[in-house]
Amino acid sequence: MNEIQVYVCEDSIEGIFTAIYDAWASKRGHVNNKIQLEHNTEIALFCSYLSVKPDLEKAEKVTRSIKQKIGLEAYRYIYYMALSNRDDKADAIYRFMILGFHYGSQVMDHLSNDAVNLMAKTYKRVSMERHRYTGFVRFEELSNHILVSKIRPENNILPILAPHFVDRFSSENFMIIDESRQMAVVHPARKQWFILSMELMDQNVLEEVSEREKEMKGAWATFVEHISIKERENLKLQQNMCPLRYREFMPEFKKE
Amino acid sequence: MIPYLHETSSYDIVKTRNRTYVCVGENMVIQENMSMEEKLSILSDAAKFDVACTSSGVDRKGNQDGIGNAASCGICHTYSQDGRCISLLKILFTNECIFDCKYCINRRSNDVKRATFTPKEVCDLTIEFYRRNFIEGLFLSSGIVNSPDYTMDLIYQTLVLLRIQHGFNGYIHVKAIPGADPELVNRVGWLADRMSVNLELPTSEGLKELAPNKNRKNILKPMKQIQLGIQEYKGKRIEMTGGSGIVGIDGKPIVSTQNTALQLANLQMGIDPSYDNPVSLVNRKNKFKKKFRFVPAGQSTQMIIGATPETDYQLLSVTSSLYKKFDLKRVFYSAYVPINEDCLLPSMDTKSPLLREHRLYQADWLLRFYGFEADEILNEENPYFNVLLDPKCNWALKHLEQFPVEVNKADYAMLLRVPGIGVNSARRIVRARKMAVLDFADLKKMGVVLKRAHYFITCNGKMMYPVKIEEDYIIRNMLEVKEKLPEPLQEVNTYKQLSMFDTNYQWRVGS
Ligand code: SF4
Repeated sequence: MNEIQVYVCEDSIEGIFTAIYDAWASKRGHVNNKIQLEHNTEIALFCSYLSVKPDLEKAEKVTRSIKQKIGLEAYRYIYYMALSNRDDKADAIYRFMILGFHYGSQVMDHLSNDAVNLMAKTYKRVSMERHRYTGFVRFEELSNHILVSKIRPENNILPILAPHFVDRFSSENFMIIDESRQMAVVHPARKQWFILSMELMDQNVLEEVSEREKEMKGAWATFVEHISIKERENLKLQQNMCPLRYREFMPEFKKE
Repeated sequence: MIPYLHETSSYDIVKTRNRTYVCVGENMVIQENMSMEEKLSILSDAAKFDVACTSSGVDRKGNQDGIGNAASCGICHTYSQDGRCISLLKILFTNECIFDCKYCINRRSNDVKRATFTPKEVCDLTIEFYRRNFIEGLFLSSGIVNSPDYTMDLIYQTLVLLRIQHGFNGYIHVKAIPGADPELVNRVGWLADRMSVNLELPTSEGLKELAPNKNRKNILKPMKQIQLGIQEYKGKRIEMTGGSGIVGIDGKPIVSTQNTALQLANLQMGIDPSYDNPVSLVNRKNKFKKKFRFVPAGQSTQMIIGATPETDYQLLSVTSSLYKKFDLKRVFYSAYVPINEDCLLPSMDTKSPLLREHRLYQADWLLRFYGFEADEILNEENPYFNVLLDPKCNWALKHLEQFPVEVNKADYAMLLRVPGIGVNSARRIVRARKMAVLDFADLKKMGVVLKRAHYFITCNGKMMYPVKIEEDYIIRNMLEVKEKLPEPLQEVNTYKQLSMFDTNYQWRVGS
């Protein structure tokens, strides 16, 4: 019996792609390889563990061959999977790529295959969360006119959420902070945006909220209250559509 | 005819401590002086029955000088306590009204608190809400103040402020006011994304009875105008430049200079023109060029359900001909909620026909996305929706001779007609069967609701269970699997409630 080689990698696109690159290059046969995320450190018997350092060059090569051989749609699936909160995502991407290199872009049609189906489902789930946040994000204006928003998403959606707001608010200075991952999208007006760890953030930027803020939040809460048709009240439906976990930073759900 | 605001200097404003009087010609509007938030509460309350949705709308990229973009997929920003989506700042410009529609809370004969915004107030509120990502844009409707022209002009000014002055690039839906000058409707069309004229009541008799100041012709006229405009201006764009006025498609300016409109907008209702700009506007340039299309997100309309005695079949036929004859993007339905006492209206304790509204939306989807015709769903002999079954299921049971269909072979259109298979799962099936022969487990993975679908399909020639393809048998089994109805509708699914529902129907048929 062959020993299973486990490639342990960082939880990032670069990390996962580097591990896939190394696993492929090992030529040991895919059944004997497994890819696992760092924080996921259950140790199994008959496995040897190899820690993989992210390598941009290798990751680039993997990106390029996915795009060329399996296509852009597949790359999108893989990218979204890498942002998801699934613990088994690194290996899921690996298995999907093995199929992808066999079938080419047609692999996307193979929805009855479990590996493909998992990719499709995850893609749907992550894009759903992203889509909901395009609506549920709330900005607060600080006294220095910077708009700041906090979210606590299940998946790491900042990189796919940011472009929507960058396009929408290109002339605003804004920030979206992922509270659970302590990362932030930073967008200086009319300039290139980037993602920053909160540790590196200049905390002085985060001033008090502006004076108008209270007035605007009040007006918004008033609006949300009065636009509802009392005779049709249906809190359960409201909760299905806007689950509690999204409401933490939405002022219309704050009690005075 | 009252001249448009920006073409007249002959109006007076008298402001006292509690009230503001604005006189245009012989007409006078009296307004209580009230805070912005108070106005907002009155004018959102007054707009709550209007339905709008940004989906099936328009995609538009943002730009560096203005603010905003538009997404055709539709983005919901929050949900109100009735569980309806909020995506737009939905307000009336004013709830003053010279008309007296029986079903409407704002009718002239009602003694309700009245409020009126100024174009600048609406504009500021829209932009400040938008920056905080509260909304996708604005849905502006209005009671009729002074005259249809006067009202339409106020709406027009608001749009000029938003689009031209502030470069607002988000979504705007406005009502076309029936009876307003076509030229004004046309001008508004170049600045709005979607326009709507509400049909209000499905038949002209109903309209005559309940909305004595309106008539069908007046409503259909602007609808036709907008439809023709969309066809005529298809692919055309007009360029408008912030700061220099708007140039029309023929090269002539649409507004003489932008400033008159702005100053007047400010002056109207006594707003001090020196009112300082909110911070958000500081770093926006006011020199920009933008191209506009005519009503790019198309037209919609709305009908009140249950105030007048039409059958469901009549309602659906009207809907279908609106889609066909007027190229509407959406027809919305609003279950009647009794707010006014009137012998011509259903009594005050009438329950809102929510299930009926729900069935209409289901049937509406069948028309728009599933390739159904109105009289496949209902007809003269069966003019009412089945209370217990959704319209697609109901259709399938009446056409059992067309089932079962083989999932691995049936064409897309036929797959769509299978209960339990929706647009997404039908698409997935068509893709997936190119790669492999599908069985029931695969269908489940693809989102097919087998509990409903299995009576109507075979996989590889086999049915999932040995079942009889027979109407009564399937109905009995299907009713055990409860249909997922929106919350308050669920109670109707019991037989006791059903009889209540029947009397409701009798009322409608009998009167
Ligand atoms: S025109 Fe009729 S429906 Fe519209 S606000 Fe006036 S009374 Fe109400």
